[in-house]
Amino acid sequence: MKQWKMPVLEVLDVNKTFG
Amino acid sequence: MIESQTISINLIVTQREGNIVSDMDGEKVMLSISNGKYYNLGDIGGAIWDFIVEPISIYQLVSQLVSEYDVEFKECEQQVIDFLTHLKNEGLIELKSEDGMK
Repeated sequence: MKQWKMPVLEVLDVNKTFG
Repeated sequence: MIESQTISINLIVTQREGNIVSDMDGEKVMLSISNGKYYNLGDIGGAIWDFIVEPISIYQLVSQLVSEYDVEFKECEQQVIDFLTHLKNEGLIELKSEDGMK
């Protein structure tokens, strides 16, 4: 059995994430 | 139109078209063409996204996840519905009832 983690939808801030 | 507050396990869910998806280090990252936003679905969210490439009932979706992951049905059901609610609010999925009503 695979380990379960609560699924989360993360909205990425493009300026912070990619510069 | 089915509102997010009324998402129940008997509804049919499927991806909406118009998203570019890529796998990055085991997590699924997506660009919505329609709203220009980037999303990280994570690994479990990515697995859910793969399951809903074709229309599937939320009951079937949860059943599939419970068979693959170490999680109880009710816990999985609640967390999946919360996740689908977020996807719905972002316009990334379509929900309809079993009789085809959107």
